Amino acid sequence: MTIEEVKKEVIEIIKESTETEQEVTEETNLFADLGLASVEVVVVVGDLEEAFGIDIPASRLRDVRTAGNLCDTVIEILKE
Amino acid sequence: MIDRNNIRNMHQLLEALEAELTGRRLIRYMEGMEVRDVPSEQFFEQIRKMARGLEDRNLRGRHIGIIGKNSYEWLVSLCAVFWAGAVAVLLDWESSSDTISETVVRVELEALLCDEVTEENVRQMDLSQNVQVISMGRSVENHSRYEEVLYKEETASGTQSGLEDLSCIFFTSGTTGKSKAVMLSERGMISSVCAELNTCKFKSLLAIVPFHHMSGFVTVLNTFYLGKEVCIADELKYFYRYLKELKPDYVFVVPSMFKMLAKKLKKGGSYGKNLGWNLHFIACGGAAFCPEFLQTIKEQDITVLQTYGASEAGAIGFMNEMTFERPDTIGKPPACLETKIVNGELYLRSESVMMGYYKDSEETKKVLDEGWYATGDLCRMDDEGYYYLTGRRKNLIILSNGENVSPEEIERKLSGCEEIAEIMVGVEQDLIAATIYPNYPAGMDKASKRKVKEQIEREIAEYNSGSPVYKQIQIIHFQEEPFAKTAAGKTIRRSVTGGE
Repeated sequence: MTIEEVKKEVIEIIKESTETEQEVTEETNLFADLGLASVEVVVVVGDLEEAFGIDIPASRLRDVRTAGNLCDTVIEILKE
Repeated sequence: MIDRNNIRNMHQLLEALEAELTGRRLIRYMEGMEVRDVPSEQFFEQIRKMARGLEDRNLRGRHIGIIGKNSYEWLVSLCAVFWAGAVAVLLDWESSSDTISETVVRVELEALLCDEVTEENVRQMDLSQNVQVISMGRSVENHSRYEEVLYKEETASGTQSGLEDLSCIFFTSGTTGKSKAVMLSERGMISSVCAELNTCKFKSLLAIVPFHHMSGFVTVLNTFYLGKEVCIADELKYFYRYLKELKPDYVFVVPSMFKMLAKKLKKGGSYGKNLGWNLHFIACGGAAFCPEFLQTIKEQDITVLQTYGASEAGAIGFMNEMTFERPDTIGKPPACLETKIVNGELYLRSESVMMGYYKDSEETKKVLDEGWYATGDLCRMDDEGYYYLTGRRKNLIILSNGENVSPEEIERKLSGCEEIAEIMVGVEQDLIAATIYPNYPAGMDKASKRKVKEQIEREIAEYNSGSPVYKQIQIIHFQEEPFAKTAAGKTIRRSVTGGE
């Protein structure tokens, strides 16, 4: 997968997991824009793990605020 | 059904459960994508063996801490501690090392049963050499202070504890202040486990609430008592996976998860079958009166139960099926629960009310009197006997003119406004103040945000015009981030209003 394909997939999973009807871009703030509770972000992470076959430890999520942050986290883990 | 009249401690209750549940599949959980089934025989055999290991370490009657994520081993550990006639002390695995070290001393732990996840945290603790650290399972690496529990063949003998003896200590997770160590007696535990509040005919509970919370571990033990099956959710992030793969028909959640489920179920179909689920009942603990979410969930043929109680009152509390006629009631108290409303505050009395806070008679006296627990919740009852929560006593604003204002009452009135995502009411210089996190659509520019704020100001003006002067909002603050919340999704009031 290319980096762009991963980003597209991550954003798609965020939309599916949260059932949001809002537009989601890399700049979208998961909390302020999508109004997600922290528990919802945790569940999104579970869905991302399943889709990409990776493990995303909680320690990698401390600074995640935007959809772009989540894309970067997934890309970093895939590269490792 | 178990006759609890002859049972005087948790050991005896577990023996009775073992006899009652023989031949049944009791627990299900997932390891990766594999589903593990645990029959009753296996569960109780491991309890007996682990209990024997604890007795060999001279831990009978001692205080034993249990710390770890939700897991099968955690449940075996809890029951083994009861089986060995020791006191179970339930700790939050997400606490810092300092907090856990302080707690170990405060409640006089002599041993700590920990899982793999907490190993690192426990390793950093400055524990007394007298505290035995024991691994829950076999997978924890051996270490000089980490020894495997001895799974011996012999069974532990019955305990001598009586109904008024201490059985369990757990911690309140209040939104402010230091956690308090709640003591439940054997009577309190037995009446909590044997409560028959839940009359819905579920078959299988998904246990997602952390086990160290009263509503976590008691709901599981109560499910065994009711002869049903428990599916263990050890990782919150795989919540949907458990619903799909284990197909529980009942889940007990906190309000933030309730809202999340409602969103997910919007196109879920009957019982969520379009998602591969089989959910018939959702119970929600804590106040989450959200009629719009109720509508969505009921459209999928799922029954919603609203529960109300307090850790200090044990597991006997209110459990009410939510309806559109009265979406904001906590229902009527069950027969086994006495209630009274004094100066607007709700008091509860039942067999499951706590003995008090551990070695804290001062705090105990503030909330416990002749078995009555003062909940701190403001409450009213209607003509038909339905109860309604109206706010928290400690949040009550008392103005210099003597008028009392419940911030929650004002918050509830305004939270229906589309432009308000979150609102918190407090007091500043004797005036009612509201801090508001507006509901901005994604990508909104500054000018549009200004318009949203103006609309909110109009809504508040409208609210003010219909309210007595002392309840009117005189000061408005806008903030650009959601309010800080506890793990259970409750807003931390101090962070917004600078209050208690």
